[in-house]
Amino acid sequence: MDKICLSEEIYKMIKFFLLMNKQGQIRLCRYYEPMEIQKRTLLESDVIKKCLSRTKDQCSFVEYKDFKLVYRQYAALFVVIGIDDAENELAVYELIHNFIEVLDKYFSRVCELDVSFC
Amino acid sequence: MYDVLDESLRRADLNHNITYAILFECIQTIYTIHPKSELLEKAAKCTGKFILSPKNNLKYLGLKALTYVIRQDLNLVLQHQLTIIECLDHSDPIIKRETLELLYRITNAQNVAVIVQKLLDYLRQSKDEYITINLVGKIAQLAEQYAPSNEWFIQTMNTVFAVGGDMIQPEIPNNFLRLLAEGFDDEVEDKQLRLYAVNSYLALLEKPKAQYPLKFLQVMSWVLGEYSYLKTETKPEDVIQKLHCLLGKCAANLETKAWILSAITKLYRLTLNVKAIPEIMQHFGNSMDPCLRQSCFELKQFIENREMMTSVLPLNASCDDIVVDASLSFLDGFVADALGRGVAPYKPHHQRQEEKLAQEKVLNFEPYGLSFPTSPHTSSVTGRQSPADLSLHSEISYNSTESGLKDSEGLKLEGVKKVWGMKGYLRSKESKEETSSKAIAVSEGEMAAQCPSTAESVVSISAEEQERQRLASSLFVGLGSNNLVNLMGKTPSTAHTFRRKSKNIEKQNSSNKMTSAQKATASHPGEIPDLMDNVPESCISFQESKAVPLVNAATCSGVEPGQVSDQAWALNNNLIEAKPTASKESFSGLFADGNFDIIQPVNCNSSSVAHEPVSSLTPNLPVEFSEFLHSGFEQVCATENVTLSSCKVWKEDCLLIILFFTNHSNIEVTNVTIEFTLTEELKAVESSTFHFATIECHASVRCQLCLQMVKPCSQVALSGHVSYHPKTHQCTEEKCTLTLFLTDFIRPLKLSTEEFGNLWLSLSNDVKQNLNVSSKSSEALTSALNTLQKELQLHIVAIIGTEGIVSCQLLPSTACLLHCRFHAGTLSLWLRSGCGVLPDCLLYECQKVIRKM
Repeated sequence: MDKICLSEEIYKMIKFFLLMNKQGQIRLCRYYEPMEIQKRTLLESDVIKKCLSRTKDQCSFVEYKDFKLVYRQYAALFVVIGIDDAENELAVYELIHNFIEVLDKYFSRVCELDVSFC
Repeated sequence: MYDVLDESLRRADLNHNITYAILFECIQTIYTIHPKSELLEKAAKCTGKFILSPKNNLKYLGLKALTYVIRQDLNLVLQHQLTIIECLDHSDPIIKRETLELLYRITNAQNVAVIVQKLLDYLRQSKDEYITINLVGKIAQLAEQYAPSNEWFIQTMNTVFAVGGDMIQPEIPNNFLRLLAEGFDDEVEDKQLRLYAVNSYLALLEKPKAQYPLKFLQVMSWVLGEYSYLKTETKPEDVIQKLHCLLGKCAANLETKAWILSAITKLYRLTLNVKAIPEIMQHFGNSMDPCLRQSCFELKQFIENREMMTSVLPLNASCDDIVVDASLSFLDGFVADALGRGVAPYKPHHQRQEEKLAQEKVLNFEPYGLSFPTSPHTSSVTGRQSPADLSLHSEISYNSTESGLKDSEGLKLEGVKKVWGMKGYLRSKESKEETSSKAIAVSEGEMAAQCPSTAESVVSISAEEQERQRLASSLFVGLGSNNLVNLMGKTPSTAHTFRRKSKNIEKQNSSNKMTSAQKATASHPGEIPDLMDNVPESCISFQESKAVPLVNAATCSGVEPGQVSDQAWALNNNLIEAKPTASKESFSGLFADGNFDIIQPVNCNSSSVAHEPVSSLTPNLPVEFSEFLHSGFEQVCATENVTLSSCKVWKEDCLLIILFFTNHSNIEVTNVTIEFTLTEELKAVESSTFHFATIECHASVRCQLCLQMVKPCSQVALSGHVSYHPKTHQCTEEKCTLTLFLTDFIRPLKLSTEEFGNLWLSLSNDVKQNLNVSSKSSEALTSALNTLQKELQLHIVAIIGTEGIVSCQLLPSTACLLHCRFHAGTLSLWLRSGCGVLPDCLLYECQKVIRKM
């Protein structure tokens, strides 16, 4: 049982965590997998394109290449997390919200400026 | 587990996203574990709710949950099929994808056609590579598994190939071809399948402007090559013609061309019409690609040798195993011929392997050129040679394990300190030094033992830096991670341990002597100095600690110090490993047990009260202080009636100035105040004002002033004034001045070499000076340092060869480290301290001392 858990653990992964604005500028990026710089920029631009092309009522889980993106929009900021198949998308969705709430508490009414220049 | 899941499902009433996430996880778990009907029901209900929810996120989750559900229970899908169909046409492509995913999982023979159709539709309009690959794989799998008919299958596969393009994984065409080749057990069906394939491809190729992906072309050409014979209506030439056209299209890459060529070759089994061949040969005979060339020549050979062709390329035998003669026996004749001609035979396999290994492991030590022995003086740089120089000088010594220490023709080692030996870094073997003398002897012995070759000598390199570094590394060994603070804080106690031990040794020797003397306090000063002589330090800690309470006790009653010892002990019990039964009467009892720790001077009462009537008029140092190094008495100020004299006692942690105020006159003197104004350099541990109410005629009082130097300077004048009121006269005030020197405040600092090294590296204020020493002998350094030690109360940490390290501290706790090197009549001093001014002042003192030598 433990072995199975372990192998599942390996695949339960958040690949990256991005905070970007509508223009595609990165406010925060954190990669949990090794990725070259060029690939990253490519990824980021791709991701923002995908997120921008979605409407409000469409679901927040986008398939991108071989993993999924969970994104959430807060005013002009997009929070995007890249996850693989084993993750619970809604849980990650809530994780984003939790993160924003924490920022809000810390900065008291957080705005994009806070995140860029903190 | 069931209970937990049950509970979770029950509590999930709240309409919050995270609740839904948890629910989803529960559902997932329920369908993964051993099924339990109630839970399954509940989960199914939940899933239904998800799917029917208007929110897209939840719909997505619902669909995903369904994919788990269908492993167990397909009814749920049936229940919600309408919804699912809706989702299929959903505006959101993600939901669509997920639905398709679901459909993929529920495919069976009945619905395969529809589902595959849907999938293909999606495939057509998707542009994403990953999705394409994914879908193609799925479709191919479904088609293979559930194909309702051959035609359908072929058609589907064709569509897949056409739409999927070149992004499909290579397994898919390979599987397809294999399927065709292996066929089913039924011959008829096989034939039918293949025929259909052939027909379809021919039809496809007919289309004038069709562009097909390369993989598709490959598949087509193979099939046509293999199975065109089945289509008896078509002439092989036509097929060949078609393929030839294909070849001509430049879009086809080399690999595809090779495939096509091989197909054409196969087709030529069927026909004798070889008109097209010369053209082919011309085109591809000279191609750069060896595969194409090979195919060309094969074709040519086959044409010329029909029997070979039929044997090599039998009809419909693509799945037959090819038997290969592994020993290549058909080449034996060729080999024999070659051997007969005198060609060298092949090396056996194992020999080849050995040679290969041997080549890899051994380094080539053959020098490229002759090595020239050069004299040491030609090269200016001795220590830091460039590798090029070294390679010229070094011998071929790859067998030596030493780092070249032994080779006299090898590395130039004159003047280089031997710190590396066979066992590694030599300094690491030195033991921690407890006593400086012991350490020196031990270390020198060890060094001699470990250095097989010449004695160490420090080379005089022009660059000061190199020298410094080398010295530092050679002297300061085994730098651990000693805490500086501890170091400084510990110093007194380490000093004490040392002292204690030596004390004990000596005590045992003289304890008999001591215990015999009962009272005679006068005798003790005589004996104690014996001990003192053996100890480099002049100040003895425990005595000091004793002295302080003794003063306390003595002040109250002027009692014999011996008798007071009991009370004194009681006072300081916590710090003493006391032998409580030691003889109380004698002073010796006090000193017999040497395990006392230092007691802070705070313990001593403020000396403003500590005035004691002294028996005689002439000031004399109280007994307790006679053990310390002290100066003689000097008069500070004197009038006809009164005299103030002082005596310096160099205690361990402060400079004690004992003041004697003597009233020579016959009149009582009242209101005596002795006050000192302290400049910024000095600090009084206790007060600097002393007050005596009355002093009898012909009496004297004593008080002590405890000082520390906070700002180092060579000399400081301590001024004060004395005011007194003789009974008959008016109040008088006299000024007095005391001169204090830096040396009064320097105390030795007990450090081991390691600690010295640590401290050295952490301090930064440097002062350097070269002093001329009269003697040039090798003993000069030792004598100089000993003099310094004696005069200035420094502590020699170690003397190694012509270098010595010395440490001291300025009270209260500023350390100063000295590094001395003796070379050709010059003593180079290098002082380092935490305080900026201290090295200068101390250097000045050292200079004075050395000059006097």
